[in-house]
Amino acid sequence: MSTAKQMANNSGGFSDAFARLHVSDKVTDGQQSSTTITSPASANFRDVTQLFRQACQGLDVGQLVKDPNFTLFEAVGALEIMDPKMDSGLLKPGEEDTHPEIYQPVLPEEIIGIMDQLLSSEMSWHDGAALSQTVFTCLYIDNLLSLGPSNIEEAKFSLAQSDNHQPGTSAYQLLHLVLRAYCVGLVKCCDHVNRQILAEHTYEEEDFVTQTYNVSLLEFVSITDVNKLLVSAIEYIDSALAPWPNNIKMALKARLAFRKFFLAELSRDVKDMVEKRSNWDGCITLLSTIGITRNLGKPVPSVFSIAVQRKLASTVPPRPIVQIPFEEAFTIVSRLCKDAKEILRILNYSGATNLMSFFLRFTARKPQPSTYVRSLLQTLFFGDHIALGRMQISQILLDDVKELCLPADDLFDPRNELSEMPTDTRYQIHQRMKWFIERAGNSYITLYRTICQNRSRLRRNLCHLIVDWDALQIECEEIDGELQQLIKEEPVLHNDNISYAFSLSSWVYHYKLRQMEWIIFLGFELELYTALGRLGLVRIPPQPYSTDALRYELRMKPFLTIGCPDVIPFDDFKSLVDNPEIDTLEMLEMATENTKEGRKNFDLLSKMSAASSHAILCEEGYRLNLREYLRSCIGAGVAIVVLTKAIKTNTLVDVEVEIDQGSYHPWFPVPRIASKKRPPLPAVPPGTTR
Amino acid sequence: MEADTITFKAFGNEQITPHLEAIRSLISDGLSEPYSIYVYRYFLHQWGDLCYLALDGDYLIGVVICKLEKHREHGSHRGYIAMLVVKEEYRGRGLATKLVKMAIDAMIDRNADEVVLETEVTNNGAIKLYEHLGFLRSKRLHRYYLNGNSAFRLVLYLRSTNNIHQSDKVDGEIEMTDD
Ligand SMILES: CC(C)(COP(=O)(O)OP(=O)(O)OC[C@H]1O[C@@H](n2cnc3c(N)ncnc32)[C@H](O)[C@@H]1OP(=O)(O)O)[C@@H](O)C(=O)NCCC(=O)NCCS
Repeated sequence: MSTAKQMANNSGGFSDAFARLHVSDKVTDGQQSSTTITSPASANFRDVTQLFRQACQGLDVGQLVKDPNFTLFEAVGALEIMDPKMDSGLLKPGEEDTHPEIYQPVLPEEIIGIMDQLLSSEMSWHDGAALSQTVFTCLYIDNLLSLGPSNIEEAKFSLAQSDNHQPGTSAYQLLHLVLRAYCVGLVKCCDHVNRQILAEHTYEEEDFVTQTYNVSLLEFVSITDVNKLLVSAIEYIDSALAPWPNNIKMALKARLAFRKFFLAELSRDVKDMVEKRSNWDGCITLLSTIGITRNLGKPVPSVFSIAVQRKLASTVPPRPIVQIPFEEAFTIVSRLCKDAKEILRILNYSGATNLMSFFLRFTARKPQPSTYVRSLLQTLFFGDHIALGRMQISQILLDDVKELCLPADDLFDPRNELSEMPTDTRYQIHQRMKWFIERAGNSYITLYRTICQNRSRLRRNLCHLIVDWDALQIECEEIDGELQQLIKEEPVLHNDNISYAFSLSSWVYHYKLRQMEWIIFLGFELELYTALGRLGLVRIPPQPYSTDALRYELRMKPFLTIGCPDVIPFDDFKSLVDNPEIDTLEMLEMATENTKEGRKNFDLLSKMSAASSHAILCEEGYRLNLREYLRSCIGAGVAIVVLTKAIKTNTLVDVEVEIDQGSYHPWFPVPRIASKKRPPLPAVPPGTTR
Repeated sequence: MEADTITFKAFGNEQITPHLEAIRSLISDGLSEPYSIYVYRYFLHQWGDLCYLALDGDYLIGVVICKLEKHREHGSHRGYIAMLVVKEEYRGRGLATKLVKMAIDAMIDRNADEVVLETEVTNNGAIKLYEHLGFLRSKRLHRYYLNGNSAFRLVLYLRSTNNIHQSDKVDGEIEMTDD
């Protein structure tokens, strides 16, 4: 069971009006501990302690007063004050709620170190942790934001007087210009990331935590002002006033410049992107300098503290600091820049099926592209109800139908729209196409958005989507029938049957089948199931509470409500899969043939051009995918050979099976069949004397 | 296998079973998620007869906490295993299996159609335990737990959905086990 995190977003909205109140209590070991809770400053209080005590007298031990509307959701959302696992304001015995002086570094190496630690925190946030576990745990960020600065002048540190930091000295500038500019830039980056993620569909707390605990991420400070600050810090470092060696200067400058470039990209609007003004390459170049100068930094762990969490208005239990190692953060931010650059490809529209292929390949990549990038992809696709920054979604939809089903030109004749006579055929065709665009358009957009979700959600959401596509198919069949009459379609003879195009419903059916296919294969990817053997190599103990038929029903559940295709009845399925008439060796032979056939076909596919594979926008990903399929065929082939040999030599008992995710296609895991491990060799290598 | 001193019993209610504190601390040690007292009371006061305890003498060594309700959408009678913990020194002796079986049997007696639960994807012990009883993984829940870990939803069908009457759907509360 999971806890209260779903409530996270509802918190804090009124905490501005709350004053701080301290409650102390005795804990069992006799030591004082205390907690900070908030309560309305101006409310009229009435002491109900006596009343409460009285009411309690009427209750027996174990009796419960429960509001019938009190739900599990609320129970789970409740936090117990004074419980260390739940109360983020709790001070452990001996801890104090004072704010110790923040350490003020004097060395530029320390500033580099802090900057890199901040990058680690920021990327931990991008990776799914909360701000309260990451960026906000930095005492400098806390210091900068705690008074709620509303302009760039106010966005500064208020630190205690320090003899080492007299105004005008380089040590002073390091803190109050260089580090300040970096922190301001970083917070502003977070602001724009949050805005982007809130603008599109992602799952709060699952993909990303947008919660800011009522701390303003400098949303009122303009980018121009932030840029000026960053530039003046860079200029200071470049000047003769800054007394540091060149490599140090380079390291500091790269970090500040990266902030400037990164912020420019994060705040860029789609129009700019369409006009090709993006400059992720600039970020990538600066990142490489940051990587090279990484060792110049000297980490200062003491400027990060979990104590900051106590001050944040929150209805979630305390959560530990998350600060991934620099190397990992560096990988994440580098990948983010590359991915964000890559998705701009879709702005070079080259047909709907190519677009769809891009979405599928890009989001299937392992590790999955970050939440930020998947959100941005949705914006590029259909932000502000404009497709790809300049098109109507109907065009992409109709292109998709045309590319896949080659429907009659009459349906798309632009003159249809001009007709205003309800009895006119053109008018009637147009009405039907208009209906299709609206009805199917919604499903089509939802499909793209769904593909951008995390893999677990993708499968779950597809299970819901196919129900809609199933209904859409039936509706389109009717419209197809009417269009058939309107355009006086000539049937074609197909396998001795007269058949009509049924373009719209065929297109819908195609996509519905693909989604059903994805649901099944994602089950392998998400490890919801793996294939089991029939030789008893995989131990299946008796499962007292269920039957094969019930488990089959559960597996087929997503498809049970789908009209077409039908789910095959369990008994048919069982005889198909068990194949009791076929001898095991014979079956293995058939399997060998199938893997060979598979290899041959994947070979053929890999010889096709990107254009005929609908992979213009994602050729590398597409080819990599084919190679993984091919590897799965080869791997399965090898497994079959080993197994066949074991059966023929009567050595099955020595054989072990393991599912190998390895470098195979995630949808086609391969069983690795090996001899059982021999007893381990003696620990002493041969030849050594004791 | 089991020491003679180990016994099992249903929780019933707080009057007859003064174990609430022991249950809380056992679960708090065994599971990562923090649960408020309301969560325990929520379950134990409504489904005390679906909560089973394992005791060594008077000493609590294992517990399973469940509920059983009409599902708000499909009207099926859905059992839910909310928490299961066996004290570390007593693990690997079949105690958890026994507790879960007792709970499922009680649910069957009360006409359950299915039983569901979630467990961390890395919790091989729990996954094996449930799969051995017939549960299947039905979905993956991305970053389901507070600590950022993902979960599998495990489901056990006790009877075919064709036989479930869809008629009396109820407007239940928000379920933790969403779809
Ligand atoms: C999961 C837990 C309840 C199992 O308790 P237990 O009494 O040891 O379980 P059982 O002895 O009944 O084990 C039953 C089966 O599960 C499997 N199993 C249990 N623990 C296992 C482990 N650590 N690794 C692999 N398999 C394990 C075994 O296959 C075992 O069957 P077998 O020994 O006959 O092969 C216990 O480890 C625990 O309390 N863990 C912490 C809390 C938790 O994870 N709860 C479940 C999530 S809600």
